[in-house]
Amino acid sequence: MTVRHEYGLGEAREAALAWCLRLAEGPLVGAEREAFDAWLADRPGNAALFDEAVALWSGVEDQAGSPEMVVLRGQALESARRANARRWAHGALLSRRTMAMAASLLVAVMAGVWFIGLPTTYRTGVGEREVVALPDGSKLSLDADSAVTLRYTHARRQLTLKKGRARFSVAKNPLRPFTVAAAGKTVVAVGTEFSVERLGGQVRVILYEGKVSVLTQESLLATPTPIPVGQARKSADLVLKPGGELIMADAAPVAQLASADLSRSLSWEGGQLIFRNEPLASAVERVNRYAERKITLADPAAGQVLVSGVFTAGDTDAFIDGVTAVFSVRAEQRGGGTVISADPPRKPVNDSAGGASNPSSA
Amino acid sequence: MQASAAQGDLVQLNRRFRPALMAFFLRRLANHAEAEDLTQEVFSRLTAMSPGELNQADAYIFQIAANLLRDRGRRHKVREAYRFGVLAGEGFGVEPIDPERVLAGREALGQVAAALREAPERTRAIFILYRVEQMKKRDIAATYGISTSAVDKHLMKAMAHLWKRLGSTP
Repeated sequence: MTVRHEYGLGEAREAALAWCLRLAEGPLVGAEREAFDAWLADRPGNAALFDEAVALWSGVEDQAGSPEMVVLRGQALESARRANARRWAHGALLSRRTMAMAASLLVAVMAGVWFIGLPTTYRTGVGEREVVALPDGSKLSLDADSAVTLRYTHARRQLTLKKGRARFSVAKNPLRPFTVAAAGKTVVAVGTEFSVERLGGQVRVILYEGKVSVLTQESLLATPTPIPVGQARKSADLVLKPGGELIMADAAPVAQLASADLSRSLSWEGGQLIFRNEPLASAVERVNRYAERKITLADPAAGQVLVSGVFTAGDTDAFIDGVTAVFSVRAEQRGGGTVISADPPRKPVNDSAGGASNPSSA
Repeated sequence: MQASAAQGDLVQLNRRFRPALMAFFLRRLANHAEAEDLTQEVFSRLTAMSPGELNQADAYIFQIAANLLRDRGRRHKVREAYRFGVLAGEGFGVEPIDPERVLAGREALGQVAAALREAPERTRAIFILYRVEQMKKRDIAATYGISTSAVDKHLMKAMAHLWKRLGSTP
């Protein structure tokens, strides 16, 4: 193979790269085999150079699912789409065959990124849980009252958490990044296990195994960027370790890191809801995934009361009895549900006879 | 090829694994022709697989390669044919795929992307479309209205740039 060294690497390295690229197209045939053997034999170092070229070649695939590469891949597909659009604009100059090819390519590229088929939706009703084996070998575990849509292409596994909570065990395939979007945030996984939950105005990610990156996207057209985490503003793939939880408020530009109690956070899959110093607002939202008759909070103060306890998912009455017995909140049946409000601040004892009476009179 | 690897899968497998398999065998066999034959043998086994099995190809492609090498070793009983050390010491199971050796020790995530960002935009796009998105050279050429040999030049340029930035022998 003749390579004029015009890439600034020197002849031997460029030849190594050229052989690597040649092999990426298919088997060597006829005289090519002899030429390759001759090149390897020509200089003792050539085999090592070939080795290195291949290592770089493979290394690109190894990182194909990294958030930065996912961004570049999106840009490359957009570049191809624009190039095709330009060719359409000059369509009169192109042959019919080229046009047809460009058209089918346009469709293929678009399909590869955004539009292949209709997304599949997995949905659980109130009180239901579901475990789904996905076509690529990944596993999806859905909490009650949750929904995930799934769009698989040859290049991407794109999931969206519409509501609720789900845990994902991801089958490794760096060429098909596994992404979960939720409320403008995107979690990118290569081969790992994590859960995503929409709770209140937050998106929460718990990592059980492996590594994930989390991107945020300002708008549909904006380029997704890794979300900075904590004071050091590092990216999630560097700081989020198994057992950690990432909490992202809708409006906040920086995510916070917390440690997760893994057995507690997995308890929902076993039908239990375990809270430890959990704000009542979050606890109620989770309980409501299993409740036909919903609990509402009368005021923000009630939502901030911290509650603890182990409850059976679906046994809403036990939850209400439990929290009203132990914490300073009270419940009231109203309409089709239960309203929980904070106990009024304690007043002096002589006030307790009843609000209507006025002790200073008489 | 009924009920086996479709043409598209084969293109993808070539691109992903052929260079790595060739390197794998060349590191272990003095005879280059044999390295090519064994690489081809792995591919003929892959093409006989069902699409479902092929989805898992990553998991056991190097297992197949190692098994072929072991069978061959039994046939030949010529240990001196191995170029580097004793195979037993390397653990026949799963070959750590090559990038680990070159990119090891670097906080690798992001390195390739950072290096690619420095390449000219079109070179970068063409390289990614070919290497990662598995587009055919012919289709890339048609998209950008250039020749396939111009596509080759972009690929060389991108790889040369990666070598300069990430290679261990720049």
